[in-house]
Amino acid sequence: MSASHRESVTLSVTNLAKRFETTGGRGGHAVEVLADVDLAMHGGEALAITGPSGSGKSTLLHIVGTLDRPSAGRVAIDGTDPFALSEPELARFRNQAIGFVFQDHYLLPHLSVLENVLLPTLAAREESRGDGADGDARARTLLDRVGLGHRLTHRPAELSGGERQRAAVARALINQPRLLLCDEPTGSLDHDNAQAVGDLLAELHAQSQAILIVVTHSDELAQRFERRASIIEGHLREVAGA
Amino acid sequence: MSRSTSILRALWHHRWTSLAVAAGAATATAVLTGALVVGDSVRGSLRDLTLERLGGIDHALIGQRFVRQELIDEIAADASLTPHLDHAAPAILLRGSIEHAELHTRASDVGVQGIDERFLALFADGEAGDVSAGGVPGSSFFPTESTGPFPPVVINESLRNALGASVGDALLLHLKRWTEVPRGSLLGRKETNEVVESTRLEIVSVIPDAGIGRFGLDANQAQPLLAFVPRDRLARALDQEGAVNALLLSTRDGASPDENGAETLANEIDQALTRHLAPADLGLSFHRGTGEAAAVGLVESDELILRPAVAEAATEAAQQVGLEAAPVLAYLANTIARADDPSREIPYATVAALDPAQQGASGFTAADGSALPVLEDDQIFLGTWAAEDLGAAVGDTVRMDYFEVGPREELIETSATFEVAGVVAMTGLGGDETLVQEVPGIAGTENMADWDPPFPVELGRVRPKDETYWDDWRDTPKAFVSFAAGRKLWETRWGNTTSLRVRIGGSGDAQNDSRLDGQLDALATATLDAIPRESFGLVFRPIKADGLKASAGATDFSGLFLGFSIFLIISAALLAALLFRLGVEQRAGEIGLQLALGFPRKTVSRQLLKEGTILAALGAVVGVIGAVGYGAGVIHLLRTWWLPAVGTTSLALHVVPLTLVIGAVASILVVVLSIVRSVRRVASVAPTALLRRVVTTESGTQGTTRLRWTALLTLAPALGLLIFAIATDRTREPALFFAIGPLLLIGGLAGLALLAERSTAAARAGAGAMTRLGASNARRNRGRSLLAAGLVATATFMIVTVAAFQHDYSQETLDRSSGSGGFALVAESEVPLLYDPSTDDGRFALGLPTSGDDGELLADSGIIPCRLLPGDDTSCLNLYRPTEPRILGVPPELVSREAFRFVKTFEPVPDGVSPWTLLDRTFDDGAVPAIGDANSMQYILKLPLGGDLIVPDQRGGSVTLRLVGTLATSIFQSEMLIAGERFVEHFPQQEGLSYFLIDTPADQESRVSEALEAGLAPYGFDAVPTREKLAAFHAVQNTYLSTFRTLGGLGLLLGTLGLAVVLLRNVIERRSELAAMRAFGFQKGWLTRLVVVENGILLLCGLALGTVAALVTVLPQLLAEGSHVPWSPIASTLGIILIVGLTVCAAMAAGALRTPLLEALKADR
Repeated sequence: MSASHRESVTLSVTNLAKRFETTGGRGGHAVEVLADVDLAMHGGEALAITGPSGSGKSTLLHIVGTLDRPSAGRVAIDGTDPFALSEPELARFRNQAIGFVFQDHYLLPHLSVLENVLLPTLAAREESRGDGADGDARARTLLDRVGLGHRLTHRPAELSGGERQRAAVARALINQPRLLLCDEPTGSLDHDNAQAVGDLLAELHAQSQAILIVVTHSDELAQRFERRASIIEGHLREVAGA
Repeated sequence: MSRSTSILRALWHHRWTSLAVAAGAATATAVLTGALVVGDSVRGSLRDLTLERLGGIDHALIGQRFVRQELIDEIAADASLTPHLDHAAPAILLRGSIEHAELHTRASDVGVQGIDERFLALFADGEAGDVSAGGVPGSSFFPTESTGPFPPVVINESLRNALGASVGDALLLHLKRWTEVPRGSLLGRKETNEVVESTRLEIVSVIPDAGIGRFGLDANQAQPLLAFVPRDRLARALDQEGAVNALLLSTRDGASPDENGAETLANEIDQALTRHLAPADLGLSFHRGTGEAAAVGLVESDELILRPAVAEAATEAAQQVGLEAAPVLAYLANTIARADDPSREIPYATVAALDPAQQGASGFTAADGSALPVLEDDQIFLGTWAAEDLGAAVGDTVRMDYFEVGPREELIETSATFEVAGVVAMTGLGGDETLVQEVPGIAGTENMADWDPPFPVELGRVRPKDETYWDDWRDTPKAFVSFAAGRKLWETRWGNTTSLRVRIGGSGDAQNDSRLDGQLDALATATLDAIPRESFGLVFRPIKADGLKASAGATDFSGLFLGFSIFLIISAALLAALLFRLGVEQRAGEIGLQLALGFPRKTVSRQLLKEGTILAALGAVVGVIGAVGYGAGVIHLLRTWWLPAVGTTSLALHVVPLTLVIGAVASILVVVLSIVRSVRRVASVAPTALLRRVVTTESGTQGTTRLRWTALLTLAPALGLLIFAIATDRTREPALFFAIGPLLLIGGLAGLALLAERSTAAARAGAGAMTRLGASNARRNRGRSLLAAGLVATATFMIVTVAAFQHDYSQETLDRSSGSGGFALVAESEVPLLYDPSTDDGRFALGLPTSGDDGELLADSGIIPCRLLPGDDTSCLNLYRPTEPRILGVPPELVSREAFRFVKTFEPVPDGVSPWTLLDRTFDDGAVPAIGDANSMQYILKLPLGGDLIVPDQRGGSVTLRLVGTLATSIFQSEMLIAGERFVEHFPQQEGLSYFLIDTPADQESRVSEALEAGLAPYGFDAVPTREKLAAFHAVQNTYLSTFRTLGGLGLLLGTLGLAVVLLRNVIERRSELAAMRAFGFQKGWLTRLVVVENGILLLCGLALGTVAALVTVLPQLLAEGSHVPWSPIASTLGIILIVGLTVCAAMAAGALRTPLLEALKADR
C-alpha cells in the first residue's frame, strides 16, 4: 500500500458515548463510562491511551474496533460507519480493516504458531474461496520479522509469554489492517519482554503505516508515542501531540 | 490448514470434554436404539415362536365336527393343488384336562393331539428340531407301545412338570365326548358320563418344550401343555373311528408368498374343499323315503335338527334344481290329553308340524272321507288311533304338554292347547314313519319300556296299547299341527326343522331308482355349494400367515420401551448438552477471538455445531454397540425379573441393521438438537464478553421476558391439555401423558428461574447466612443450574409417576365395586357344564355334594355361570395381536348384581340405572352391545367406545360387537362380555356353561374351590381366587412400572452425574474465589457445606419440580380409577434420592476443596 494511500486512511470518532445498564438496587440505573469522546486520526499516526482501571480505555478501544456498540455518537473508518453494516458485512469489515492485540494473547492452543497467525485469513478465505497461498507467505514473513521464524510448528504452550505475544502481533497484521488496536499488549509481560514487544509494535507500525491505538497502563510504553491521551471521567483528553 | 482440520484439532485438544460429550451421546444412542432393538427382538421372537409352534403347517381346518379322514387325501390329490402342496395330514386336535392317576395332580387347558406319522412329518424338516423321536434319533415318536392295555401318550416337559409325572405313569384324560346331537336340546344327553370321555393313558415319553413340543394353533406365547396320542386310539376312544376334526396342509410356497399368490392359493384350497366335501362330512343325509314315500327325498342331519343355514341352503338348492322342499318339525309331546277330561291322555306321543299343502298329493285323508280344512295355527289333526284313544272328535280341545329348553339348557315342561280340526287316516302323511328321525336310545328298541331317552320319562305311564302302537307304527306321529305353530312352540337356537321333504318324482316314479337318485344327488351337490361352511368350521385358514401377522403384537414393544426410555434419553441428551456447554464455556475466549478476528457468527455457530455433530456421531457409533448390549440386557430381564410382562422365556435378541441405523441417526438428531440452543446462545454473546469468559447474553430484562414467555408457552398448553384430557376422559392416553409431562417440566424450570430472579437473598450475616449465600451462588450461572435441576426433575418425574401407579393388588378387596366384582373365585371348565351348578338340582345332576358340610358350603356359595366362546386372549398376558376375542355370555343375575366399576359408557345412563343394562340395548344395524375391560379395549384391541369389532358367528356369517362400556381394572381382561340371550342367538353351537363367578362365605374360598374342583374334575374345572387373577394381570402393569422405574433410576443416575459435573465445574471455576474466602477466615468445612447447600438447593428444586409435574400429570387418571396417591412410597423414594444426592455433592465438594490455599489463590482458570 502506498504512503499516500496510507495517509488516506482515516478514523473519525464523534461525540461517542457508552452507557452500561445495571440491575443493581431497585429498578437499576445506567453507568456512563464514556461521554462526548471525539477523536480523529490518519494513517501512520499512533495514539497511546492511558488512564486508571475502569476508566473506559478498553471500552473505547472495543468500540473503535467494532467489538462493542456506542450508546451515542459516531465512528467512521475511511468514511464508513461500521455500525451501519449488517452483521456479516461488519465481520468482513473487521477482518479486513482491523487488527487486534489483546493482553491475553488468545492463541488457540491446538494450532501451531504459523496456523495461529494464519487464523484471520481463514475468515477471508471463506468469502473469497482462495487457496491461501499468499497468506502463508505473508505469515512466514511476519513471523520472521517478529523473530519466530524458527518456531512455526510449535504450539503456544511451547512458547514463552513474550513469544506468544509476538505471535499475536504477527496475527494482528496478517491481513494488513488499516487499524491496529492493542489492549494492554504488554500488561502480562515482564519488563524485558514488554520492551521487546513495544519495540516490535513501533517498528511494524512504521512499516505498515496503519493507524495504531494502544491502551496501556505502562507510562514507559506510552512515552514512545507522539500522541497520548487519557480518559478522565469518561472524556478523552489528549495530553500530547494533538 | 482447513476448517475441518481446525475442528478436528480442537476436538482432540479438548478431548476429555469431547469424550464426556460423546459418552452422553453414546448413552442416548444406546437407550434410544436399544429400545428399538427390544421391539425388534420381541417381534422377531414372536415370529420365531409362530414358526416353531406351527412347524410346516401353513393352512389348517379345525372343524366343529368330525369329518372323514379320507377328505384330506382327496384334497391333497386334487389336481389344482398338487403343484402347491408339500404335505397334508389329518389330526384330532382337542383340549382337555389331565389328572395323574396316582398323585391326583391335575392340569387343565391341555392340548390333546391325536396324531400319526403324517403329522410328525410336518415337523420333521429340522425347523422345529428333530422330532423323529422325543429326541431319540432313529426311534418312532411313540418309542414303545404302552406296557398295559391303555393307549400310549407322549407329553411335553411343561405338562410333565405340572403333573409331577414320569415315564410309565398312568394319566386320566378327560375330554368332551363328541356328539352330533346338540347336548342342550331335548334330545341331547347331559349326564357327566355322557358328556365327558375319560380315558386312561400311559406315558411312554417326555419331549422337550421345543419344536413339536411347542405345537399350538393359537396365537399365544405361553408354553402349552401338550399330550400326543396315536390318532387311531384317540378316535376309537371318542367313537369316531375313521374320522378327524383337523386337516393340515403344508404348501410349497410357505407362509410368505406375495399377497396375490396367497389369496389365489387360498381360493384354490377352498374350491378343492368344496369339490370333495361329502354330505356325511356335514352330518347330512339325502335319501329317499320308504314305502309310500319312496318318491320323496329326505334331507336330514345326524344332529337331529337342520341348522337354519342348512335348511335355508337346502331349500334354495331345491329351487335351483327345480324341486320344492317342505320343512317338517317333529317333536315329542309328554302328554296329549282332552282338555275337558284330563284322564283321557296319551303319554309320549310324537307330533309333526308341517304344512300339508306343501307335502303334495300324498297328504292327509280324513278318516271319514270328508274334506279336511286348512290347518290353522291353533288347530290340530289327530290320527285315528289318537282320536280313538282320547275319545276326541272335531271341535274338541286337547292339551299338549311338552318340554321346552330353558336359558341354561334346563327342560321346562309347558303346555299348549289346540282345537281338533280333523281326524286323519293313518295313510299317506297320516301314517308316514319317515316324518320322524330315529332318536338314539329310542329307535331300535323292542318296546317303549326299553327306551333310554335323553330326557326324563316316567315309563310307568306307558300302557299296553302304547306298546302295541309302538310295535305297529314305531314313532309315526300321532298328531299334526301347522309348521308355523310348531315353530312357535318348538323352535330352538339350533333350528326349527328336523327334516326337509322334497318331492323328487310323480306317483309313477317310485321304481325309477336312477332318476330319483340322480335328482337327490343334484340336490345334495347344490346344497353343499350353498351351505356357509364357516358355521361348521369347515374352512381352511392361512394359519401361518395369520400367526405371523399376529406376531407383530398388540403391544408395540419398540414404542413401549421408547416411551419408558424417553426421559432417560432426554436426560442423556441433556447431559451431553450440559457437558458440551461446559466445554464451550471453557473455550469462550477462543470463540470471542474468532468473532473479533472477523469470523461471522454463523460461521462460528456452524463450527461449534459441526464439533457437536461429530461428537454425537462418534457417540452414536459407540452407542449402537451399547444398544445391542442394552437390548440384550432388557431381553434377559424380560426373560427373568420382568417375566410377568411377557409370560415366556422364549425371547431372543434380534438385531436388524436398519434399526441400528435409524436409531443412530435419531440419536444424533436428538443430541444435536439439544446442543443447538447452547451453540446459538454462546455465538450470540458479544465478543468482548466472550473474551472475558462471560457467556450470558441477555440483559436482565431480556432474560426475564424470555423466561416469562417460556413459562406461558409451556404451562398454558400443558394445563389446556390436562383440562382437555379430563373433560374428554382421555386421562389414560399415553400420548397426552408424554406431552403434558415435558411441558410441565420445561414450564416449571422457567418458573423456577423467574422465582430465583425475584429472590432478594443476599450474602449478609445472621441466621441463615449460609442458605442465603448458597441460594445467591446457585443463581449465578442460570443456564447451567437450570440444566442440572432439569436433569434431576426429569428423573424424579419418572420415579414419582411409577410410584403413583404402583399398586399392591394382593390386597384387593372383595367390594362389589372392585375389580373382582365382589367374587372370591373365578373358574373355567374345559368341558362345558350342561347343568346349572348354582341350583341344588344342577349340583345333584353334576355329582357335586348336596349334603354334609361340603354340600352346605356349596349351597351357601353363590355361583353365576356364564357361557364362553373360546377365542384369543385380549389381556396384556397375550403378546400376540388378538383378532377373535373370547366372548362371555352374561346372565341376568350378573347384570342385576351391579358389580364392578365402569370407567365410561357409550352413552349416559340415567341415575339409578345400572350401566350393565346397556347390554340389552338394540341398534338399528343389528350390532350387539358389548362391555370390555378398559385396559384391554384401549391397549390390546384398540377399540374405542362406540367402536365395532366384527367377528364370525356360528350361523355362517358374522356379528358386529359394539363397545358400550368399559370396566376399570377387572377380572374380565381376557374377554368381551355380551348379554346371554345375544350369545345364544349368535353362537348357538356353543353349549353349556364354562365360566363361573363364585361368591363364597368368608374365608372359605379354598374349601369351596377344592370341593368344586374335586367334584367337577372330569370337566377340567379350575378355580382361582380373583385376587390372584387380578394380580397376574397387574403383574404385567407392575412389571412395566418396574421397568419404567429402573430406567428412571438410570435417569436419576445421569441426573446426579450432571449435578456432580456442574458442582465440580463451579468449584473449579471459583477456586480462587473460594480460596480467597479461606484467606478471609472461612473454614474449609463451612465452605464445603456452602457448596452442598448451593447444589442441594438445585437438587431440592429438581425434586420438587419433578414431583409436582408428575402428580399434576397423573392425578386425574388416579382419581378416575378411584385410586389414591401413595404418599408414603413417594416420600420415601424422594427422601432416598435427596440423601444420596447430597452425599454425592458433599463428597465432590470436599474433594474439590482439598487444593492448598496459596495454589488455589494463584489458580489460572
